[in-house]
Amino acid sequence: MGLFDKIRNVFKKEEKKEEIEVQKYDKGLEKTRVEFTSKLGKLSKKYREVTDEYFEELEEVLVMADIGVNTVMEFMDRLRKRVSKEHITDTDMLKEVIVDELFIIYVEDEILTTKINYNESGPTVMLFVGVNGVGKTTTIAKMAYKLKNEGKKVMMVAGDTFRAGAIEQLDVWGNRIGCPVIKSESTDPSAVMYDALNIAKKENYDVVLIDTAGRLQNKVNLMRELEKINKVIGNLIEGAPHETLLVIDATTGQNGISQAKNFKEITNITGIVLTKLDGTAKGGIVLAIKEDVNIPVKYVGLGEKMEDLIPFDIENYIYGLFKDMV
Amino acid sequence: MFENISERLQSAIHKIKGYGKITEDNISDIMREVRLALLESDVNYTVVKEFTNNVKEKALGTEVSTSLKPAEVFLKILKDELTELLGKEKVPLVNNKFNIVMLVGLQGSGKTTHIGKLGNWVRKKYKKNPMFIACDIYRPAAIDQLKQLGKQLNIPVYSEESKDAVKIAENGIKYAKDNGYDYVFIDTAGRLHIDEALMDELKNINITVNPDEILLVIDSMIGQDAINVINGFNSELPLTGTILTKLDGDTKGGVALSVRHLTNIPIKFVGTSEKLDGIMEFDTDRMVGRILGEGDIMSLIEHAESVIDEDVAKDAAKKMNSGKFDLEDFLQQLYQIKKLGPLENLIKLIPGASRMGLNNISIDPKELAHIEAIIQSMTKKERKNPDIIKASRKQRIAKGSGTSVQDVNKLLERFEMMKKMMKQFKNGNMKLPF
Repeated sequence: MGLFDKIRNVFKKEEKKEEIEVQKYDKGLEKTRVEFTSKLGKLSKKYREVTDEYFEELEEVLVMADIGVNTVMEFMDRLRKRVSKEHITDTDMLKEVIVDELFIIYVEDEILTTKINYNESGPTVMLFVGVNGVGKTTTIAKMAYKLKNEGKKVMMVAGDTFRAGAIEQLDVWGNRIGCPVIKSESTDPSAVMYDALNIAKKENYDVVLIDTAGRLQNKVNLMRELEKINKVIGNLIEGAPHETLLVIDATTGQNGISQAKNFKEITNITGIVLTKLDGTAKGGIVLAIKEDVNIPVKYVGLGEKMEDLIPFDIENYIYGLFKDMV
Repeated sequence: MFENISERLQSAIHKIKGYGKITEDNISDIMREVRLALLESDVNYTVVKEFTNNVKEKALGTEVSTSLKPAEVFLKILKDELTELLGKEKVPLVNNKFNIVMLVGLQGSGKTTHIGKLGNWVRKKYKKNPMFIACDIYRPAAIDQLKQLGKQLNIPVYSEESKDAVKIAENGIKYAKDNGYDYVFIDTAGRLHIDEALMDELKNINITVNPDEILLVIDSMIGQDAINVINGFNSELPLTGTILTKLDGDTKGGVALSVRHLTNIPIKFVGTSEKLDGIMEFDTDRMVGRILGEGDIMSLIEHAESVIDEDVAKDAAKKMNSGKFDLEDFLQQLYQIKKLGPLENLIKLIPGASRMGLNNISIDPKELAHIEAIIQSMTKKERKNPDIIKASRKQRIAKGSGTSVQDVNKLLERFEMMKKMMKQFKNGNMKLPF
């Protein structure tokens, strides 16, 4: 079964929930798609036949999507080989091959799931980490809203004790969603984790969502602090954090790879939340991150509203980028 | 930042050194390296193309007309072209009798933090009396954030409960004029450049209060989408400059090379830490030097000047020059160095740091604490004359400082190395910045 059949099947499913999510992808990626597919469409109109110029322009399109320079260069090599092996001359035919190859980069032969790894024997702890300004606090609020709607007893923990206004920000969200926010006067984030997790155990919370201060991945002392937070959490609840999500801004360029590598060294990153995908940024760096660092995307942020956090689906993602071509 | 470009360029230049002259053949290899390095640094694709073409053309064109060695020629061309990309002339922040500056940008780029830094900056450099206006009425607690920064800096923040950002800006300006504030910064909500409703709001603020400057705040980790963002804001608003934030990360910050060239808007400031004094005026020559791995000794000196006790420094410099520098002085230096902030940032500014392999060094603040403890566990006599520290003394010192004999050895070795380096600095006529 070819990729496009797979993609079509995704959309034929009768489940209503999925349809809504697909629509959201469509809406969120609309600007992205116009930008990206029109370029690819134009390209195959401009070059009916596969030529060196065609490859060069294709490379430009992929680099402009922030897919990652090494990933693109290797991708181009593979594509060239496949073109010569399969004697592809028609650029229209090549479009499908391109999508197929992009899909392979991300999926390889793995089975990827966006399911949350729940703790069977107590509160499930989810830790959110990332550099400054990527949208950690907003993402936590969206996640709290989502899980609460699924009937879970959810708590948010204001672990960003550094940035001015961070605790207040989470507090406002807590009020809007109707979800308790645990905070502390202490500037040591580990202190508030300690309080929060003890409450969570005592009062039988299902999920604890922990906010952390934004930190650049090359700051040794801040990364040490994160290591400590991680340890404190693990000591209080066995196996915690059960999910550690790295939040990455879709506008991020090649630095995304460094972020993924460095945070993975310190914490057990279980997935990525790709935020701000409703702009013109393509977030292509996640393909390189998956290839290089092997961290899959679990959720994407497609807007500023509470319901704008949805599970990542690579097929939907690529379909969103290439919809006009199918 | 930029290690990658400078490393790659340096290896490219090194390759040229092996050639007698620059030819069509050998330069394409080098240009491919340069091209990849720039793309990996998030420099805009079109800019990279143009840049590599220009450098190549010039390198081939000047080959015959000069007696300089090819490597020198190549380096000079790179420098000229980089300077061209970053813009030659400096355009300082407005400084009139009364000033209004508005900051705009995407969500999370660092607008509010940089309002704080700029307020602090104009008060120090321009001797102005700043005030902030909180126009981010959308993000939860954004106003609280600005108020907290204002409180830390003792700068007043004008805010209203209202949901009309234009009105707030207008009233805020009036308030500033009535109360003797002469430098007003307007904080605005982060927005996507394609969000028409919110872009209209900015346009309306612009028409209503007519700011002297509108600065676009850009996260230096941004990728190829930078050009869409910059053009998006620039086509709707008369931008007068940009601020590149989070340059203290390990981002290559290629956007610096793109932004000026593609839009002709000058880069005015760079953000260099989370602290409220973490801002610097953008300087092209320094940045070019940094890209090419020539270091940025001026920034280092400036930074040192602002935090270091001059008398202590003079005293230490004297001792260094006379070779009488001992561990006691070293300890005093450590206290001073601690004030300088993360050492990684400083090392990158040292000329030739990347060639010495120092650019990727990471220093754990705890290590400094260990060094401190070790020296503190020595007697005065030992500090003055480290040569007397033999096995039994080492054991005592290790015990006293809660470290190991190896740690003590390591420190002593390093101290010896440092003394040697000082001699080199002295012989090379290089003045230490502190």
